[in-house]
Amino acid sequence: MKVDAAFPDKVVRSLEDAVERIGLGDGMTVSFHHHLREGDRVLLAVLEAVRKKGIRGLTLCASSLMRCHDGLIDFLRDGTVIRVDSSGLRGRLGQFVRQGGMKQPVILRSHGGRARAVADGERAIDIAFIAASASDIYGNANGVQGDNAFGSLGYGIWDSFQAKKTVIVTDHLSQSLLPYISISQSHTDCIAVVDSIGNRGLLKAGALAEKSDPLSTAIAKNVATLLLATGIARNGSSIQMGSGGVSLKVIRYLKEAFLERGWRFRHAVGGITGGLLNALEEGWIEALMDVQSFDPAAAVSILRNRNHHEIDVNTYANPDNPSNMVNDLDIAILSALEIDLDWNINVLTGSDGVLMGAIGGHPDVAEASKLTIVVAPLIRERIPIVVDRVRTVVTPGKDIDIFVCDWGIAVKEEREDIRRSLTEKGIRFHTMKELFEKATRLVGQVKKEETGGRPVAWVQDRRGRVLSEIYESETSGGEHR
Amino acid sequence: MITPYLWRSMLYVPANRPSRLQKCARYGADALILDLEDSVPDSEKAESRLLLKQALKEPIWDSAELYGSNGGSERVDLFVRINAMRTRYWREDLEAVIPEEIFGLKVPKVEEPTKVEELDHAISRIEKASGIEEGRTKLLLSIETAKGLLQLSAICAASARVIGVGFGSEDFMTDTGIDRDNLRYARMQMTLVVKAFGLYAQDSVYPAFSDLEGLKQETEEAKRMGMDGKTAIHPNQIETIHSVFQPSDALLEKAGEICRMAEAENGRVFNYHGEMVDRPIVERYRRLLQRSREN
Repeated sequence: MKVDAAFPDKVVRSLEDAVERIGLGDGMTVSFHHHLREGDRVLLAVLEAVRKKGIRGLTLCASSLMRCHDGLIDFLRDGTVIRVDSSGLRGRLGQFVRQGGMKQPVILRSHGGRARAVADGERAIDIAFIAASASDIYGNANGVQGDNAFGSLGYGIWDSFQAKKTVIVTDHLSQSLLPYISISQSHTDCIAVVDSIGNRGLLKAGALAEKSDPLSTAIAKNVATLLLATGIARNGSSIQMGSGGVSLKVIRYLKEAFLERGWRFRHAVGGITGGLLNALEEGWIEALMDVQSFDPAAAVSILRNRNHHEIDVNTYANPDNPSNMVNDLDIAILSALEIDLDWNINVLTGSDGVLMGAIGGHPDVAEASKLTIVVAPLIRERIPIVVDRVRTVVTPGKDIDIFVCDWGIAVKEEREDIRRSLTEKGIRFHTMKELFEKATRLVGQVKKEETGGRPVAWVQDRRGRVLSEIYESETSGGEHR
Repeated sequence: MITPYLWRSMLYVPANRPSRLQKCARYGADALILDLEDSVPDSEKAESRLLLKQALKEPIWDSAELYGSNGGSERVDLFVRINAMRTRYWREDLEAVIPEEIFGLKVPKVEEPTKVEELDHAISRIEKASGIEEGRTKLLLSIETAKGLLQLSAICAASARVIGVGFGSEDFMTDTGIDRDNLRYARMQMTLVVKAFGLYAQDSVYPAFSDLEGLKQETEEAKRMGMDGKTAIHPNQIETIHSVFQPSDALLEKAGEICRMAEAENGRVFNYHGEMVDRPIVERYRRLLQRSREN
């Protein structure tokens, strides 16, 4: 490989050299993004290099952790890493944490909450390791070029601003200046060239895969009817759609109505799916504000379409940033693992307390959007989704307005405007209590294990207050979905 | 003549699949046909009958229809496809499902009016024994043979329970040797007779459930023939069928008249050109109007 770097000291050939060059030491805080989702190979490779150097006691500040990061358990066991911050925990890693594998409780934050925490010093980052699908020899980097182009670098950009030092980890080093720059050479202290940063083919794996099940279709139709019949969705609205199968189908229904009426959303915010990319091309969404791409095709779109904007997570949802995009949302469609009679939402743990999800931008979007709709089936695999009390509060009920499931729509009493509009249009709706009773009649309620004892994870709200605690439990609950 | 029955789609659901029975009312079909016939092997007939009877008692049949009044929900219209009257199963099928107050029976392979009369009597006996209003259980007959088609006028007149007739393409092709591309004449003939009796005309399933374009073409053809709805074998077919069977102007006009008359009658049963109209019927027409306005 030719490395005629303008700043030759910046470029190194291995992660071990990068760790050496950047001055990583015991007890420091290192950060990573999860833009490659299940295809990420950088986080564990960096920790392996750290271990080889004999460095211990790190704090890991990840934007999220996926099943591909189960190997982190080894580094927690041997003390290479002693603290973890993330948006989510799943798989074997989730089990390990819940069974008390760590001395320090994991801190679970929303994406906006993490943006705040790294900026206000609550979790200052010493070294940001940022996987980039392309970097030039000057240290300018992006996620939209190279064989592993994954799209937006929204979390990485903010870490590069906030970290004391930044290492770009790339498998595509360009000898000439990149035509599109997400992270500037001014913020890059070191460029580590590796064989592979991962596999972008796995970006859409798991929860992001489009489902063809008829219940998702039924829920999506209910959402579309609600949005269109009541005039909630109209020309010039802004929207965040979420990434689940229901959201992808809602896009299809909205498309027909918007194209027929000549309407356009002024923008869509957040995670960008293939459906939203199509909507941009078809012209019924004017602009995309992309903090995280859920489809590798977003990489090409960012490069070519001037209305597809890559935004950093501070601009997306930092509650301390008054100009954040979620504050400008008219409509948000979000998912849930559980919703309770007080409308509190859990997107993190199963009814048995097993860590199986991620907070993502849920509380950020729900708090800021003018209208927040939560979608889920009433029952999932014989487990009721509407419960008397959620196991883990991730988003407070005060921030939710409407719940849509396959059995219909529940509207909060305070949203008299929406209730009136639905009544005028002849659309029936329920109270949350009615849906709870329905779920209970159908499958009963799951008896929840008593909580208490040693906390193994804290769920923070956007501003850093502890919203709920997850306690140590012997039961693993098995591998969930 | 316009049928008072407004089902655009009816979804077949095998009675031997509990998980599908649990969910199928949520799929958005206008009515369901819970199948004890072709989708259940002989070895599972008895078990499936019991399973279905139990499922019919469960609170899983609320309509997925959003349009309607608050304060409760309606049960989706339920039909049970019993086994053909030439088999040994049909009487036990009746005994199992009639007491559960279903909307009606889908009766396969009907060929003779006397068989319809026999069925009518058998149902009446069970309705009486179960304390159910006599005549409540309706019949949707299926024409699947040349003989049945030729006897259709007499069949339609054989019982006051008969509210409609469906065409069964697959068995009709087997019976006659006519291929799928040449079924138009038979489908049209069935529709003409059914319409002469003011009944509901239903088209057959489109078996290639992933071919939505083919389904659309066949559904459009059925609508042009004057049919009122079509059966589905997969939930993904429902939306396509609904997109074609939008209500006609004549039907919307009728719905408007009935809703106006209902308001004037203030809840009383009334006569609409020889048709007795009560609250559930008014509610159906009101929903039809609301849905069509939004579409």
